[in-house]
Amino acid sequence: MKFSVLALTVCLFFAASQAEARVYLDVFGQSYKKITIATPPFKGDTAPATTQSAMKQLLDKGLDLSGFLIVAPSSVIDAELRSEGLERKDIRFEGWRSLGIDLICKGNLQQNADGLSLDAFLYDSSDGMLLFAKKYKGGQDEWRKIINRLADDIVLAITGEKGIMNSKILFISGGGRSRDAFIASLDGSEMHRLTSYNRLMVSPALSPDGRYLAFTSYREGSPHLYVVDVQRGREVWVNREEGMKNGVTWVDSKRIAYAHVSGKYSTIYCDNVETKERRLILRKDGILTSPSFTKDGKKVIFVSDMYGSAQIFAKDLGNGEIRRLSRSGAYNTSPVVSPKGDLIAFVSRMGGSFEICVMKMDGSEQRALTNGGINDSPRFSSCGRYIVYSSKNGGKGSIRLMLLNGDNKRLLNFTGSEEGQPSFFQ
Amino acid sequence: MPNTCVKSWAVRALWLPPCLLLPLCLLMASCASKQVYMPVAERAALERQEAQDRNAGSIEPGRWGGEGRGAVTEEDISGAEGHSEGSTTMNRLVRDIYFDFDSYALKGDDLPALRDLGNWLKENKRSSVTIEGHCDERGSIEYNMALGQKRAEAVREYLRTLGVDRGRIKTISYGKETPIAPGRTEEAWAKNRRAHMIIE
Repeated sequence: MKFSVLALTVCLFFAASQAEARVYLDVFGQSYKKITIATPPFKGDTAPATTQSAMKQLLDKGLDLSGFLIVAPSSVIDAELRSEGLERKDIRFEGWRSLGIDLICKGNLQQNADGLSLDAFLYDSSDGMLLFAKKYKGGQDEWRKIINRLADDIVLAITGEKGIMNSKILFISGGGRSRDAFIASLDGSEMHRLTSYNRLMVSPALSPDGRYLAFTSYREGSPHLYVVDVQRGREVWVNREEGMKNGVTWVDSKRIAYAHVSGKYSTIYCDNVETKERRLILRKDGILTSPSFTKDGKKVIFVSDMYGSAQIFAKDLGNGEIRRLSRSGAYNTSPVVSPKGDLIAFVSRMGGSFEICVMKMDGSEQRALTNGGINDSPRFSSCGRYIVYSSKNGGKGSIRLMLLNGDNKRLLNFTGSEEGQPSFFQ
Repeated sequence: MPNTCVKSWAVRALWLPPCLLLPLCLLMASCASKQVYMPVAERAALERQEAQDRNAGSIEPGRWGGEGRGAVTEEDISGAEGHSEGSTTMNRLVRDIYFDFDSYALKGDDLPALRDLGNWLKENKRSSVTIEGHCDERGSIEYNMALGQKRAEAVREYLRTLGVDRGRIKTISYGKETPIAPGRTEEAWAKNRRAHMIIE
């Protein structure tokens, strides 16, 4: 992927060490306090006003989506504060403090023949410290990338880890039996249609390098499992065996794991889509589905109905031992292991609803993150701090984002029609 | 398995009456409102239209089975003469059987209809059947895909035990992706948890 935005550090991250401990997010226990940030309009008058306001709007949206920040509404910032300069000496920090604002993000936006240039400064109002100063440059049409980078840098400054505004979301969209796979930026822009089959499609999964897309499609009538080369638009691997093949996940950039339900037994396979090598991971009576591997590849988490209802199990691929992980309820499905390998997100039936839950790798400390409706297909962000999932409560299915502890639920809207089965890409 | 069967009888006994009552109530309600508010001429036109619609609906063979006039006569005769089950007309064969939530166990009261289907398939060797497995909207997409497959295969295995050649039975799961009944009621869900037979 090519990035033409140049990010140049103007000043050093001299406050990086203090910044790291500002927000601590723990899904099991301690709460965290959101930080209030002000984003006064950028200075500079060479860029069109529409670009200016669109950039501010996107910055506010990105900071809100992060879940760590509350963006102060423009109405609380009086003209005097709004008009002050960008440098530390120009800023009346006590004025900002009196409004309850913890951080101030200021910027100077310029547009010339080369494109856009944004000098951005992040100050801590409590001590007037400059947390970072950066110059972002890009083409006129790259204002979204510039802002998303700034939003991610602000999240980095306060949490020690970059934000997710530069991530992409893979999802299925379409109504009835006419569905296809799409990928878009988290902010809804840069949407690309990956397939044009207009048929039922489930379980889309992009390989870690973004080269291959795997999915189950009904485009030949029966549901088959396909792997296509996204760039070249050609099929590289297909499983047309009888039965249901789905729940595909990438083990590495060449190998997929999936469940095959056919006849008396169900099987979890791991297939190399380039060499066509096949490895049998697990075979059992009844249903097996939704395999998910730990990063070290030593364990596979999956769903089985071996005890009469859908439950989540783990198989140690070293000693072959199988353990039941989900302990409460009669319906636990769609498990997925977090990137850090410390948590499993899954779906659990609770009363009349289906909730996104998390539990530790041994099945302990189960906790529900959603409240009502039919929620499904949880997937972690690559940093592990966010979960994206599909949600349906009466109306059409939609995609939502939340923090790992269930806070800050936000609707992500891409196509305007039915959307589901989301996953992060990078 | 036996447990599920016993439970299923009870469940069906409970939800069948409301499902018959509801359309009746709706029909009565709609008729009443028309009588109050509609001028005579318009009402006559509407009734003519409705009669046409009823006729149009009744020729849908898959839905109404042997209710067409010719077919009814034929059935009555075959029943009176005590013919074997195998001579049942194709239209009378079972098209949908239903399942409990998160279950792919066949219900005891569906077995006679499946036996009719099996016997008919054995007699009509050039026919084949596609069994679609469906689920209600609740639960996970992936698990329901597997569950739908199991439902279709449960019917297939039963037909096989009756002696129908496996090669003539195709199974396909649609999971919860193509519900036949909209809505978020137990009644709609029950209609969607089905194996649907397409006989060719």
